[in-house]
Amino acid sequence: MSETTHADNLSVYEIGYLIESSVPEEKVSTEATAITKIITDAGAAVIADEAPHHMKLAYEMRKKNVSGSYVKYNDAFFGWVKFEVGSDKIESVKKLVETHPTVLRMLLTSTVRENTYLGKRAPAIAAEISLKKDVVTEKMESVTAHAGKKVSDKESAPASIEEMDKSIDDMVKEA
Amino acid sequence: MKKQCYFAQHNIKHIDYKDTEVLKKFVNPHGRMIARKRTGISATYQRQLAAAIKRARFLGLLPYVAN
Repeated sequence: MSETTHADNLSVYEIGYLIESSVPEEKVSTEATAITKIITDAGAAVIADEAPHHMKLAYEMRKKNVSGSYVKYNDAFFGWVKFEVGSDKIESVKKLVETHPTVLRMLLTSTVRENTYLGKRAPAIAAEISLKKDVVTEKMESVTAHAGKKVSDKESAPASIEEMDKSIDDMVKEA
Repeated sequence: MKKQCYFAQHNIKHIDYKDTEVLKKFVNPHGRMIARKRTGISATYQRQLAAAIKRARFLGLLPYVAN
């Protein structure tokens, strides 16, 4: 997956990071700049990036603070930077970003120079997938409905017209 | 009828972990990945998709277990 230039042994990487929600919104851009500075100081060239934006986390995360107790987070600021740097420098960059005091979590991935992020195009593409998925879910529902019907057939089979007529006749006779 | 790989059809060469709208379509309501037998994705893209979903989960963009 990584794109390597043989001359300087350069590779393209991406760092996705979460900034703690305890950081005030107006200071988030400063934190993002600090992270970008860590990367550029290592001699990296930034290819693309996205400023951190507030988001609700899919699950609760916790981080150990200085006193040793855990702080829980349910939301954070998510941002990412794509850059090109020598493979010998990447470990130091990773350690520095990881240990940055306001970074809740970070992910370093090896990627390609081309844009891989669909961004605003994603919802339209996802809508197309949902149509196809509906066919699958419909099939699954019909299978489960059919299986359920088999069981219920034995318990309460629908009465035929003859049976109904017979039961009505019986009721009339009794009266 | 043979199913077509969605990503190959749309010429998407790399699946990005940040595209959660797309990734969500390939996980079930419990948050588990859907088998390629159901989705019709090729083995190559299924491996990419699995990596992307796992990365998204790590960064809290997708849940490990959905309610």
